[in-house]
Amino acid sequence: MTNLETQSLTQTGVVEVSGWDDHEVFFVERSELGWDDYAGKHVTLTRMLSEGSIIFVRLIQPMSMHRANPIPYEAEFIGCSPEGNHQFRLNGVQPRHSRENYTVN
Amino acid sequence: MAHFGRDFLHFFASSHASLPRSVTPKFLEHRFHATDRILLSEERSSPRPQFRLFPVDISVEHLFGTAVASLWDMAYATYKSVAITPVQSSLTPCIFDDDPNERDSLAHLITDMGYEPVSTPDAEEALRLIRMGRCRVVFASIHLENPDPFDFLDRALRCDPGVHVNIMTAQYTLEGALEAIRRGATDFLPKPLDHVRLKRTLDELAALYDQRRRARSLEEQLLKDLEFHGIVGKSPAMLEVFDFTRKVARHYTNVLLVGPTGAGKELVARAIHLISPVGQQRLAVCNCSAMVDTLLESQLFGHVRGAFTGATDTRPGLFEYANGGTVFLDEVGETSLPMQAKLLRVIQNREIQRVGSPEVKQVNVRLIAATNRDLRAEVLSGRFREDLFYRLSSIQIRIPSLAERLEDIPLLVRFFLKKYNDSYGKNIAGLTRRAQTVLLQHPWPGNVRELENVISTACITAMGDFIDISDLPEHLQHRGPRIAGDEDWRPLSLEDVRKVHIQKVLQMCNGSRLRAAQILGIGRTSLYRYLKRDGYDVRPHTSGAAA
Repeated sequence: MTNLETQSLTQTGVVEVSGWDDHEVFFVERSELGWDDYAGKHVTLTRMLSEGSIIFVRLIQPMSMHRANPIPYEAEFIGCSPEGNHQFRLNGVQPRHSRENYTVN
Repeated sequence: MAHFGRDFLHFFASSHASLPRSVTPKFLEHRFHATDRILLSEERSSPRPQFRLFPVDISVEHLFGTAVASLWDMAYATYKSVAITPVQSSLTPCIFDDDPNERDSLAHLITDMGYEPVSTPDAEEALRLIRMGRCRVVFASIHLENPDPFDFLDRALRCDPGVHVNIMTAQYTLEGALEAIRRGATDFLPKPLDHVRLKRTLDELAALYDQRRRARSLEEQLLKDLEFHGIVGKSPAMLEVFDFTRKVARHYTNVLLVGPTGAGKELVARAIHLISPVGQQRLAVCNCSAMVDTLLESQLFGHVRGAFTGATDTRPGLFEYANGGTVFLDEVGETSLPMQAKLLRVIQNREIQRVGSPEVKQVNVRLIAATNRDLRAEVLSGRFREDLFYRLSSIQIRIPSLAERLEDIPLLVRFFLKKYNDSYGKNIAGLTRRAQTVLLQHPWPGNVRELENVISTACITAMGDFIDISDLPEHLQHRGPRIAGDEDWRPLSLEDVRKVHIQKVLQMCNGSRLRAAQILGIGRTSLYRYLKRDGYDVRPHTSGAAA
């Protein structure tokens, strides 16, 4: 098997998206990670999410020896697809670091 | 502390006839004072002091005799129990008092006790120190005649629910003390402060923090010991999974992992592969529910150029990629019947065919399949091939849901905290007790994956050293206590609930009494006794079926 062949197999954008929907029900969905100039990084889900929801996106890598970690994103609703699914822009989330570094008791 | 040791020596030295009263106490006091911290901090094996009376060193036994030496040891032990430790010195009490004289006097007193206090007359400054994690112990002076005397206490606890707020007041009343304690104060101290009580309070808190640190350290060690290839668990159900995984990994060709979504099937599959004799070979993971049949076929078996629209080049499939290693088929229960036939061919004949190619290729792969469906029921309903089911399920491992192993939650929380502290560059030490309670009451429909997401979210939002309820996802903050099977609830007697529950667990375990007893948290003998009491046949059976 050539490197090129191996590489082509790994280039799938299938992701596992998990989080809580607008009914606060935990869900796990498979989706395709998309990117374009208008929406940036985005996913399409069958369910609706609350404004500002944090969702976790894990890349499904068929040939990785290590399981990919879920990455948190803030989901921003873009619109509905013709099939009635919901498209969300994925905005990166920064952990909050407001405390100064003090020695903790 | 030091006063006690000095007084003790003073007493014995001054009452000893052979030593001049006018000289000895001061001399001994000096010697003791000079050595006390060194002796205690260095943890000497023989703590009895040496006195340089003459050009030679004389031990306490020589000076006062063996009995006094023993008493010395007792005094030393008492002193040692209040000696300055690293924990004590890192405990920074905050003194909040609007009276400058009392504030300074208390600061000096606490400093003499070996602590390093910070003092302020400003409530906002005190709250800022609490919010920043600078102070975990607060001595706050209040005036009970104020309209809301406990306002500072409430705000301090909102800033950090783990902070120990000791209320001081000149107007002590029992009602006031009870109200303060009810609102979350650690203690209610009347002014002027009782020094012994103050010291005891500080020492107890220092010991508490020391104990917690040691517990955290032990938990981290425990985590290392109980981690099995990235899977964490100490519950009987998980220990059984680990044990069985170790056994089958060396010998399997096909394994079926059964369990709910998010329970950790992929991690178990990876563990099996790593322990197996082909652990150094490739592992290919394919989620069968993520794609349509044609794409799945192409991914698993590969395709040749021109096999279908868009097939611009020839590609190998995952079976070829992992030849000599392992293929993990997640959600195998989602595959169509035609795809199942192709998978059966791989298992039976160890051969594959790329899409669009007449060439048959031999592959040597081990297969791990996983499903969250009841495949037996799927077979009965005709949605899953019986022959494939029997091929796959020759070895079956059931991964328990998180609800079945709630005792693993604290360990999993620690595991994920470490993981996300590292990822997000944080230093969160743990969860507050009320946040822990919320996690233990949640039903966890999304299993470990949901717990991981909760901890990850909390690590992102938390600004303190501990995750509190307000850092958890919003729906968890307002959820009431979990009531198992709420929707089917009926007013049964406890005896009936037990009877029904045992039967359900036995059914879930396919009649395995050993496994059922482990899940129920009782011994097998107890299970037999309950079954017998409920009128079931408990004689040994060969089929493994339940009574």
